[in-house]
Amino acid sequence: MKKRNALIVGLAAGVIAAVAGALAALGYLPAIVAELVAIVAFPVFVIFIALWWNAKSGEEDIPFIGY
Amino acid sequence: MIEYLLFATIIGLLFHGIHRKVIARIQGRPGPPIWQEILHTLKFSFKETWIPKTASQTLFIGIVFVAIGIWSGALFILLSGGSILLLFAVYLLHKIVEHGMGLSTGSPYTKFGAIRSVISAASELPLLITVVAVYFFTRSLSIADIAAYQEVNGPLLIIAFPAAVAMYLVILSKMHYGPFSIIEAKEIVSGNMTEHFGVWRAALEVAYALKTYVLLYAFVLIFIGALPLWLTLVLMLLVLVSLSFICAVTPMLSPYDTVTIQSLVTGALVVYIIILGVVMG
Repeated sequence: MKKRNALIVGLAAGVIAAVAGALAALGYLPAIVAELVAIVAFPVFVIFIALWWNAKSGEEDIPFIGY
Repeated sequence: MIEYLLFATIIGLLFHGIHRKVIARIQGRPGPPIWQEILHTLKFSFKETWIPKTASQTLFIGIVFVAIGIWSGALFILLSGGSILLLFAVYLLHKIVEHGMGLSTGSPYTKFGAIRSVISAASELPLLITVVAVYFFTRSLSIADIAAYQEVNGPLLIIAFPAAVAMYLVILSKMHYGPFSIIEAKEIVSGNMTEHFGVWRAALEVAYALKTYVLLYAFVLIFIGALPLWLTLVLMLLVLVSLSFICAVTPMLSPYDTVTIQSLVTGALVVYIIILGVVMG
């Protein structure tokens, strides 16, 4: 996975969770659905944002598989 | 929703830092700053990240997602006043996470951690006893109902003190540097977490911060009641400091002693439940 892809996935997960929360707060989405979205999206957000800032800017594949 | 998770993560990491600080001060050391665990997590996220060649790649990575996911779910169970049985289920899933994490790498150290996780399953039984005892008094497993019961009848901490002790023991079993922390003992490097390094370890630190926050929050909610956030946080901190004190003055037990003590405590609490059943019908 390339650095840019990790950023896109991480941000997408964060935005989806935030939008679901906002929709639930406005009453357009049941709270339980927003919570389920957050439960799935939060790990993706944390791990992919960390993979993004961890990664080098070259063409390397991350995470490195091999030792 | 994600703001709750971020808040709980940061507070949980701060609690871990305070835990280390209190232990250090009791042992006569200066200790790290209380925000050390936040820095620690950031540090890991910048470290080189790899997947060992001997690892099951899917399990190795998937278990980290599951670890964060289950404790995120547990937080929402508490916030929505859901059932404590669901909380119990999450706690059991965490045991599977510990085990899966250890077995996913192929390393002997992590496998030892995983096996120790299984043999310390006795630490889960006090939580079941907590659930039963709380039901005896409140006639409900809903956290919202339990909080409502305490508003009328006073804190369960006083009414059902042995059940509170049982849950306290459960939380103590999951604290870093505690007497029952055999799965991450130094003689097996970092136990089941040994091979999860870099981003994976940073994500696990997030999961464990959520876990600490959820367990302390659950203790306050179930045994003291629903209070304003600031007061809940203060009480969580007090419970944490008491746990840190025990961790500071108690050496880590051997795996068999751990199981023996947890089983004895569980046995005593079973007697309490039987007496409660006879007295309360």
